[in-house]
Amino acid sequence: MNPINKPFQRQKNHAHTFIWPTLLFLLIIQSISYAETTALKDNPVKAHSGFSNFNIINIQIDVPSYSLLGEFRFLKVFDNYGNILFLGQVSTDQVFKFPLHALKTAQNLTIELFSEDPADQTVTIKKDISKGKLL
Amino acid sequence: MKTIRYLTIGCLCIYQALASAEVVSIRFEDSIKSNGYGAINLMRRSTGDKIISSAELEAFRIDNGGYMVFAVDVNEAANGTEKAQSQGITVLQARLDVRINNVVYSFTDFTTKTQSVVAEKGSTNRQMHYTVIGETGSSRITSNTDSDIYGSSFDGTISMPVNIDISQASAAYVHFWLLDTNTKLGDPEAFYDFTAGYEDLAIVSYQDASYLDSLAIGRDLAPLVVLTDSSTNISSHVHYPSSTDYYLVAYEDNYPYKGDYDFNDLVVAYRISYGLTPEGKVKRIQGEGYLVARGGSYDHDWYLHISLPSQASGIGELIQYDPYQNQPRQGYPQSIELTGGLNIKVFDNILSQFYHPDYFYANTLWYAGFTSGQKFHFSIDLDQSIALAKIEAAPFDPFLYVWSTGYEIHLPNKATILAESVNATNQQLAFKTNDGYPFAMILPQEWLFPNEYVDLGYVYPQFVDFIQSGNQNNLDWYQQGILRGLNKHGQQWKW
Repeated sequence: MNPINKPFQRQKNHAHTFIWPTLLFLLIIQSISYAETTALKDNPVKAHSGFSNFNIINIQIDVPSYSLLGEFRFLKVFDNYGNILFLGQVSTDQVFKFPLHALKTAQNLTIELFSEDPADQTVTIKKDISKGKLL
Repeated sequence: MKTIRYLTIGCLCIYQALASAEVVSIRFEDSIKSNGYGAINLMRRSTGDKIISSAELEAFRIDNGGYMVFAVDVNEAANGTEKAQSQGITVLQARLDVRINNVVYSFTDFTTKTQSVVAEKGSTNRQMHYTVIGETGSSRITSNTDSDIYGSSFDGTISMPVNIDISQASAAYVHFWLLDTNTKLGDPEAFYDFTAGYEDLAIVSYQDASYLDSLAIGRDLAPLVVLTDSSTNISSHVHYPSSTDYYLVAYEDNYPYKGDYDFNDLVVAYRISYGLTPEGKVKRIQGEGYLVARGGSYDHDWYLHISLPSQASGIGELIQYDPYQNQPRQGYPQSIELTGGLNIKVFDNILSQFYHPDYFYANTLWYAGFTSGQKFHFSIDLDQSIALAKIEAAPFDPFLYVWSTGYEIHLPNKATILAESVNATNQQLAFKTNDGYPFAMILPQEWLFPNEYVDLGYVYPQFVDFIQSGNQNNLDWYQQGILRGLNKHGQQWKW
C-alpha cells in the first residue's frame, strides 16, 4: 500500500460524496426556478385562461318608472374612477338598454337620471360590478 | 319749409346709405376674462381707429332683423372631454346696456344655438343653460375678406333681441357672465366650464352669423347637446371604453410564429362612441386614437373593423393629424362609404410615418427619446339607425396587416377580413401561438408596454396568474409592473 496515495484516495472519495448531491440540488433548483419564472415564454397557457381586462355590463333602466317633472330626461353612467360610459338625453317613455365595457378593476357604476327642471332631484342608482355581473 | 325738406332728404339719404352699406363683422377690443365675466364696449374695435359708431351698431341690428348677434371665440383648457376639436362654455347671463339721450335701456334676453343641463359649482342640481361650443385654432373662410371673422377662429353665436333704434346711442356695453360649473361632477360640467379664458367677441353680420351657425363647430364631439331651434337625431353617446379613456391594442407581428412576447411590435390607442337616437338606436359611429409605439421591424397597416348588419349603409370621413397639429394631414379628410360592416384602414404603411428620427423604432428603446404618433378621428352617419344589439360588441376588431409577411393579425376568435392576406388564402384562422398566447391583446389605457425584447411576463409578474386564473386573480396586474423594463414615457402619446 502506498501511504502517499491514501490521502488522495480519501480526497477522491470525498469529492464523489459532494458532487452528486450538489448536481442533484442544482437540478432541482433549476427545475423549480424554471416553473416559477413569470415570463410568457416559460408559461404555456392553461385551459380556461382568459385575457380580458374588461367586463361587458348590460344596463337596463326603466325611464318612465321614475316620476320627474321636467320635459326631458338625461342619463349619465360612470364608474368609480369617474370614467363616463354613457351621457345624453333619452326618451321619456322607454326602457333603455345598452351594453357597456367596464374595467375589471372597477367596483361600481353610478347611474344618474335627471331632468332640466330644477325642482327634480337627480335619481342616483349605484350598482356593484366587482363580480362582473350583469345588471 | 325748404330747410325741413332738405333735412328730411338728408336724413333719408343717410338712412338709405346705412341700410344699403354692407355690414362687415368687427372684433371687439374687450373680451370675456378668465374670471368668466366680460364687459364689452360695443364702440371699441380691436384694431384700426378703435371707434365703432352707433350708426354702425344700428346697421348690425337691422341686418340681423332686430337682433344684436355676437360671435364667440371659445378658448378653453382641455378638461373633461374638452379637446382642440370641441370645447364649450355655459352662458349664465347677458345684459346689453344702451345709453340714448342719457337714458339707459337694458336688454337681458339672449339665445345660443345649443343648450345643456349642467350644475353650478357647489351644487349637484342640474338646470338647462345656453352654451357656446367651439374648437381651437381654426381659420374661418367667409365670403368677405374684410370681415374680422375671415381667417379667425370664432365659433358659435349669442343673439340678443333689441327692439329700439340705437343709432343715437352715446354708449353701449354688453355684459356676459359665464356659469362656473361644478367640474367635480365630470362631464357635462367639466366640458362646459370656463377655465383658460379669454373668450374673444365680435359683432357679426347676418351673413357671418349664418355661416358660423351652419358650421355647428365642435357639436359632434360635445357631450349632452340640446339644440335650441330643432330636435336632433343624436341625443346621447355611449362610449367604449369611456369618454376619456382609450383601449390599447398591442401586437406581436411575427404571426404565425411566436415572437418575443414584448407586445410592442405595434401599439395603438383607440376609442369608439356611438351617437344614439332618443330611442337608443345607433345613428352615428365615431372613433379616435393615436399611434403609441412601434417596436417591430415589419411594416404594418392598422384597421378597425366593426361588424354591422349587412344592410347597414352610411357615409363619413376619416381624418389623420400629425402630432400636435389641429389641421388634417395632407390627403385628409378621406371619405368613407359604408356598406355592410365597417372596415376602415386607419393607418397605412406605418413604418414610413412613425419612427424616431435617430432610431428605427418608436418609443420601445429604453435609451431613445419620445416620438409622438399620428392621431386619427372618424365619424360615420348611418342612413338608417341600427339597434345596439345588432352591432359587434366592444372591443370590436382592431387588426393589423403585416406587409412584410402578408398576414393579417386579429384578436383571438376573430375572422380574417382581407381577401388578399396569406392567412385568408390558407384558411389559417387561429390567432394564437402553440403556447396558447394571442398575437393581439386589448389592454387598459394605464398599461405601459414593455421595452424592446422584454417579455411581458417578466415586467408584469402577476400577469401569468391573472390569465391562468381565468381573470379572477390580480385584476390590477398592469398597475404592478417593474418600471425599469417598461416604457418610461407614460401616456405622453395622448397629445
